[in-house]
Amino acid sequence: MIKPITTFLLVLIFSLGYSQSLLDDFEEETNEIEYVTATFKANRILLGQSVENIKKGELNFAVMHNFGPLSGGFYEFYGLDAANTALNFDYGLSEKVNLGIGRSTYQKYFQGNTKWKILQQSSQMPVTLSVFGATYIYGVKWPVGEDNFEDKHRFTYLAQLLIARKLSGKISVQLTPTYIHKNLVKLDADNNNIFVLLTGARLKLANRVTLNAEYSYVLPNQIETKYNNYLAVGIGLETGGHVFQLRFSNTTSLFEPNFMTKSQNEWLDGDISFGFTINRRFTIIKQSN
Amino acid sequence: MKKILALSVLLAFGVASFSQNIFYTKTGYVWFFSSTPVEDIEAHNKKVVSAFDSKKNILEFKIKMKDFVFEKALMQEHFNENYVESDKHPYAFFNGKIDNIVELKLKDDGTYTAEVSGVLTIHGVDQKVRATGTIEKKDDQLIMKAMFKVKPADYKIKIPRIVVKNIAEVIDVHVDVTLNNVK
Repeated sequence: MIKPITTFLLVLIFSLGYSQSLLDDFEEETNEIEYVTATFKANRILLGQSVENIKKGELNFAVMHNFGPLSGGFYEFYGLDAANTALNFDYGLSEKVNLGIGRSTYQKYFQGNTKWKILQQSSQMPVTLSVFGATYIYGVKWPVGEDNFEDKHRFTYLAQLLIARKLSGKISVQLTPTYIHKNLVKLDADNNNIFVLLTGARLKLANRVTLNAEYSYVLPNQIETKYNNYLAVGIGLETGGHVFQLRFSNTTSLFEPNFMTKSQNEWLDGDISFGFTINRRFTIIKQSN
Repeated sequence: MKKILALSVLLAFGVASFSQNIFYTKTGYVWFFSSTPVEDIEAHNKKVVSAFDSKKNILEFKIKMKDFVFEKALMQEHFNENYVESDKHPYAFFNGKIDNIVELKLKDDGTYTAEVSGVLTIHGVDQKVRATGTIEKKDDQLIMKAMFKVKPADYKIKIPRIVVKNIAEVIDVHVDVTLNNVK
């Protein structure tokens, strides 16, 4: 026969000792979405764009170098003599929108670009999705005596869909379908419109060191067969305000329409180019709490 | 008989939950400050969750690392990605008590000096800590303030040699929370 007093005491002791943590009582059903951050460490994977935006109010200054092929040997100083440089400024206008300008020594290209983040990977969204658009202006003077070149022939346009997923703390992958439109092409047989599938991935080796790779696949029957698909591997190193990138690739150019469609060199022939990029981040507008 | 049993159960639950001694907030303010000759760094978190049971003398804090706001957005990303690794350890916790609670007359309005001790968990590492602070009782609120020092090394937070001059070995942590009486 259970006495009421025993029941009373048992229940009292049980309920008094029940709460393991005081805060557990307040565990509200927070439907807070957990967003994935830092899918890549910089706004470029190697030469191609990543889904990462420059943060609002920050300016990224990138100095990019690509050298000639190592197979040039000692006389060419392993590619140093055929160096290409590009300077790029990318600014975070807002959390979602980046604007950038750049200039490359390769064919004196000027570039203006914008990146727009559409979706962010989270507990409810499987991928991060951004769009990237750029306009390139060929800066070399037309050959003397040639009259049928017009200003509009200098322009090349590029549009990309950047689709990335952070698979784990260490591995991220990105698929970048790309459309390039060149107002002027060399031969009648060449296509003004080119479709490329660019892919990229990174493996985090340590908190601040990554191994990155990129490969572009140009859809068949669009460009001359003498050009190869672009393939690059590199190491990214992050310090306080810098991200350094050391690259080996089969291209000497730095801007998208060229490295994706005009890579002349063959990895297996030893025509590998060394290159590096220094990214420096400046805070223009400080965050406030 | 059944009625008496049922009544006993209800009464017991009633007694257990009858208390005017639980205080809570989810907008607590914690900030930290690192000072070196090279650089001063600070970060502010205004979404700290805290609860205090004045009868059982339990004081708890739950701090989401990604809610610390730095002036430089990139520095905030590095803090989470490289230093405190918030993907692995999203929260810092404090579980402790007020050592001198019997001396404090928390039923009366006023400001009291409190000695707090407990376990602080950052980056998944537990450390016993003590701190001195003030508790101000004002109507239905308890305003708790404290400052104590934290060594990142104690919590296995690695600072690479290249920035070792930018980050202090001992960091000042400030707490300023206003807890409301909830039940």
